[in-house]
Amino acid sequence: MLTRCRKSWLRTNIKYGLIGLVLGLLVYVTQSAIANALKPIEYLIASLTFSTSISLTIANMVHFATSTKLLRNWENVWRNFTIYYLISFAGMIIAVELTYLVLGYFYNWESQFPHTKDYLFDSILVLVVCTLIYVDIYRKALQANKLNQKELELHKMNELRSNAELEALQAKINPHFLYNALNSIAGLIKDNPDQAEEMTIKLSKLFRYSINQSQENLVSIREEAELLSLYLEIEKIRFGNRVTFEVNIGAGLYTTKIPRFLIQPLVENALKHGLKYNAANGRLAVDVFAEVTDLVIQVADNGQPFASDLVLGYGLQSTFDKIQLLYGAHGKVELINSPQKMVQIKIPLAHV
Amino acid sequence: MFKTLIIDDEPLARSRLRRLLAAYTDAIVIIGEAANGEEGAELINLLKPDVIFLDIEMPMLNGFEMLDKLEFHPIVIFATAYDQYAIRAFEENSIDYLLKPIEADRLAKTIQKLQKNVIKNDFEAIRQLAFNEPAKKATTLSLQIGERFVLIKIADINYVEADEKYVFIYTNDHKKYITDFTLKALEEKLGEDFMRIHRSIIINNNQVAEIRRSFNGAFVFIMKGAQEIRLKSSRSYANEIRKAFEI
Repeated sequence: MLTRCRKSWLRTNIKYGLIGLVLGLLVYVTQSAIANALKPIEYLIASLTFSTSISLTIANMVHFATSTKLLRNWENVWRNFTIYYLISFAGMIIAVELTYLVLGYFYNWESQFPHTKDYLFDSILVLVVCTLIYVDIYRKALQANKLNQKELELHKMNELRSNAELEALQAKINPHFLYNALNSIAGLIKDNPDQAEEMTIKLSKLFRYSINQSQENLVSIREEAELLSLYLEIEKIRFGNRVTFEVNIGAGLYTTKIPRFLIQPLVENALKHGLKYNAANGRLAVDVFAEVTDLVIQVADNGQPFASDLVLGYGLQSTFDKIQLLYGAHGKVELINSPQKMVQIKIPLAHV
Repeated sequence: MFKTLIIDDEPLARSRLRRLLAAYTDAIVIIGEAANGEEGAELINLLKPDVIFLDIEMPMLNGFEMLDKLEFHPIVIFATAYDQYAIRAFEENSIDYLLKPIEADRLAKTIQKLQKNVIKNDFEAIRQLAFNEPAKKATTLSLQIGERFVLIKIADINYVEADEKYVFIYTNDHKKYITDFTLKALEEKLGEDFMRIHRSIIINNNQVAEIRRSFNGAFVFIMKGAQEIRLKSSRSYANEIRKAFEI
């Protein structure tokens, strides 16, 4: 911090030293042009000394005012404007008198302090140059402000994004499924009260699972398998044997933890989209097994392959979000068409 | 009497509707049932019913797709659990629909409307409403690589560059994916956070770290990331770039 401060102080001095020299030269050239002859060299030295000392004094005072936060808040235009010009003129007067003192000592000038006659010309010069610099600083400050604003907006957007991601973790039963199941129960009540009762119980269990009192993101594969079988049994009551199901879970994996509500949405997705064109003889298989250090979850069906210009539906997209959010680069979701059409998820076993 | 067809993929839903409609034997005569859109379209063209009760989500053809296939246009009453944007817009267009689980009182209103002959299906309106449901903004891109599809978060894409033969997608973690999509197709899929800065380059606007002016009204884009990536725009995109980045 300190070195940065020193660096910027050094830079300020070099910059304004140069500006002072250039201004001094300009003054000398102008004086010579007006006189229509080159003024003696003492004029040049005096002109360079005055303008450089004025420039450096003002620059240092402004630098000091800026680093002490007197001149920080560039949004308050009028306050800054006033302070800036007050500092500039004060700096000019100090510099003029000091330079007279020093030059007077070396050249044995006799002069009367204060040198009010010099002030008028110097003031005009200071006013013009300082205004130009002030406008430049103000413009830069505005730009920086605008950039900050943009960064803030970006930050807000990212926050929204992670909210959406968190939502992906919240387990949900597709409301469409829920209403359809309730309609089925309404249909069963008169014709088959026993089955209506059974389905009501199953639906309640499914719903209880989805409400998830403990709000845990990870559950055991056993729990996920139970949820899946509830869902599949309800679908079987509704659709009979349009689709046959098979669920295989590797030995010893039942207590392994996986993200909650990971498998069911994939199965629902396969039923709705994958097996859309299988009015009968649809087959759906869920396989969970360990492969070296990975846990592999596969949901396969014998329906139409994934299209090359596939647009992900809600189910697949939220599954992918979930895996990315929980496992980052260690998790993988892939859609595979051959040799078997399926959605394949790989998550590290060590991690779960 | 209205010759009526029930089209729903769920037997329980069909039998329930049949039972509810049995209360209106003076108005409704059920002449058939279909279990999916394809069967439904066949039956409609064959039997020319006056009214159909139609589910939307079904295998083979869904309800909307089925309507698109019809040569004969009966009055359509949707019976669906589909309480979404599209279906709510139906109401404003006096297209009738029943939400599942179907209520007997609500069905009574539908029958009244049928008898008063106030349900006038405008098939063009249905088609527009059905297929104009605003697509949810895709946040994930699926890239086919042989028989597999890799999924990439769209926000994680840094830029896309095409050479003479192939299009490559570069992600923020400096992975490179080859794709069969054309730049034009990708431009559409990636959405409004992305822009073309060159005939062969699309960038993610949110991943730009710095923009420098170059010769001839071109710009050099320095992208965020661990490795330094510089992408040069071409002059023909200068106006769009200036507008997008307010420079």
